Amino acid sequence: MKVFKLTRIALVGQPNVGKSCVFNFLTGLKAIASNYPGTTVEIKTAKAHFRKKQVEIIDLPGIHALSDTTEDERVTKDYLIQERPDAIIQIIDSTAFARNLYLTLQLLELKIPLVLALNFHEEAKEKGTRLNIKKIKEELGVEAVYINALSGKGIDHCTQKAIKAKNHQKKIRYCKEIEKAIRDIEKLITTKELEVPKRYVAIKILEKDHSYQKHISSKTKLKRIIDRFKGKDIKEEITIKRHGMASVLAEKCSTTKEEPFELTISEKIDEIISHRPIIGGVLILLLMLSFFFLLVYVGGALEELITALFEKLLIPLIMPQIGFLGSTTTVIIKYLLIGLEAGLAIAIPYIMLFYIFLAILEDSGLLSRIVFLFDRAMHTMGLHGKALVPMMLGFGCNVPALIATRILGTKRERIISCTLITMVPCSARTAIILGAAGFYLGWQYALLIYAIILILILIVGKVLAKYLPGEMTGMIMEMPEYRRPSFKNIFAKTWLRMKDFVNIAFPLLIAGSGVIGLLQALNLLETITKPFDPVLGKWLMLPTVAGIALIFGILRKEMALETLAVLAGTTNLLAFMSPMQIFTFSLVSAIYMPCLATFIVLTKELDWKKAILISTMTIILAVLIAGALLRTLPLMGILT
Amino acid sequence: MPIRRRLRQRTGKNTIKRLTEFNTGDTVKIIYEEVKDRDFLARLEDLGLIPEEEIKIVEKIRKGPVIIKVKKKDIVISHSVLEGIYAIKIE
Repeated sequence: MKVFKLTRIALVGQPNVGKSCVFNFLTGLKAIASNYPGTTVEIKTAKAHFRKKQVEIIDLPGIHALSDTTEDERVTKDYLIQERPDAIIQIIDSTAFARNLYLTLQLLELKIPLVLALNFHEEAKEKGTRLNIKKIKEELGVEAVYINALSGKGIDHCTQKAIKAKNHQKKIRYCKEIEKAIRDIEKLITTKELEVPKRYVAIKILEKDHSYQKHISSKTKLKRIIDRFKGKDIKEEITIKRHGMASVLAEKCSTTKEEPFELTISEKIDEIISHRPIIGGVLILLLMLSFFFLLVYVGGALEELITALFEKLLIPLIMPQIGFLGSTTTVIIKYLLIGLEAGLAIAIPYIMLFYIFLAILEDSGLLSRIVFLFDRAMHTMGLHGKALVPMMLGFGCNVPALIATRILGTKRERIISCTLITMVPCSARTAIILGAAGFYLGWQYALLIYAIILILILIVGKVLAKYLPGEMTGMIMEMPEYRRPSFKNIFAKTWLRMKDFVNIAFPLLIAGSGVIGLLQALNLLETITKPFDPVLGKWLMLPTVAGIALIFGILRKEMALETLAVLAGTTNLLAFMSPMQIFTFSLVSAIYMPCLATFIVLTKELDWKKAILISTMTIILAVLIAGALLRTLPLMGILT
Repeated sequence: MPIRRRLRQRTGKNTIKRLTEFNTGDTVKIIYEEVKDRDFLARLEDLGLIPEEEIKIVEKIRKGPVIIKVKKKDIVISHSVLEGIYAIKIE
């Protein structure tokens, strides 16, 4: 039997050069790709068939260098060194070739077959730079292919080159002094079976990477070699030399035509948004508000349409046909149908619309401008602007947002942002806020709940910033160009994010509705809800069955409202609760306890103790704030 | 001796300023980087912020972040980080 060897190809590149797009093209849309740096914080692998060959494609986090300074860099470097893939495809941003070559020079030192995929070459051409593939091969000893990561053009050809790629013989030469030191250190390396070439180890030792010092036979001799540099920062010297070489190579491998000075579209937009911070800030806030109203009205209209379809057509049509099944079965089936209706009517219009908007923000490049404009505001919470990226993602779903906090530099920043993210109203909570308070009471009440939550996030952030030990680090973030979002990518991303809801929440919701139907048929609901009465009934003045809805809400946040509708036996909540009760329920649901998935990820990203502490804090805050507001708002003439 | 005076003496250039003190649109050459956190300094250097490198101040928010153009790419950097980078203006 013929055994086919699986070829492993790693996608490497600087942040935001299109790695995830290439990954999606090769594997069939499995990763989320965006126009902001740091979208990929974990290794993603997928197998794909490529011209009768099975290949494994590995999407690695974007890095600027093969170093250990950030989590992303550690993950990528460790993978390349320990796993040694069969080939590397380095995705290159052709508009900044020299900067990308800086990483190429380090990848060459690993001696793994390498192919350069030249992305954004059309943009580079527009800016007057043309890259010469032949010259690249001549100078670097590796193949280069023009690709378009968005349309997929050239990716097949590039993969084919990667499969066939052989190890290159190119040696990167530093200055005489450094080269001599490298040679001398190589002689001191005694370990026979190294994962990487001796030369790479020697360079890393010179760069003060202490993890490689164990391979050295004599520490005294090594000290003597280092002392030759008379206190000079060798790491800095090597970095400067590499940048120099990258610039020279970039010049040799490209031709630059001096174009008459003209602003690009991206620069023209930035003239308004980033270069006039006040106007930019106001425009961004207006954009957010317009989206909020779009969610309220379009989401509301969709909700009405789905509800009408179920209540006026499907349920009256099905129920009389199943009367022969007996009362218990009929009640269960009715609840199953209400569960399906609640899932479709309350969650999908809001969640789907939100994800479409988030994808537009990400892909257009606006997200990074928001980070720049609101960096100072984030400082009040002990965070810098970059922490806004995971927090914005949190408006979609808290789970990827928590994972995205890995882009932050310190443990302290991660604790603060993880705590705040669990309070950010995700799309599921948005579905509750808009589906309950917005739909039954009016948009101003939904906006009020958002305002309360944002103020709460600000206060908790300020308190954490004051009392958590440690200092705030600075922010370094790349500003991507504005790009027209592609419909294909927006809908693909929305579907990827919605898939989780359809695959996990829907079965849970329908099964949960069936269980509630059974409990209702057996008259057991009251017994279960009794223990919640002192808090829910007396302090929050909610119907006690709301306790069951809130418990289901821990499984999936949107289920709190959907279960409440099931328990009420109708999606018309006003027939079941007072306006104040609807407001209180929406507020409590939006703040209390993160959902189960968020809680689990929180334990992974921080630890059990902190996850429990954060969850308890949110429950206490939700109960206290909602209870206090329901007593004070009527005094101000609101929701009397 | 304050670092700025030391740098002025060492380079003989009186126009050395912190990066945060330049205006939007200025093109400057980096002279010295004083960043305590070595990892952070390494990140800046990997991005191309190395001595002798020419960069452009694209935009700044008062006491807030600054966008600089380095090696043909715009990078947003915190005010606090740029306080430790010294440069001279290129006319």
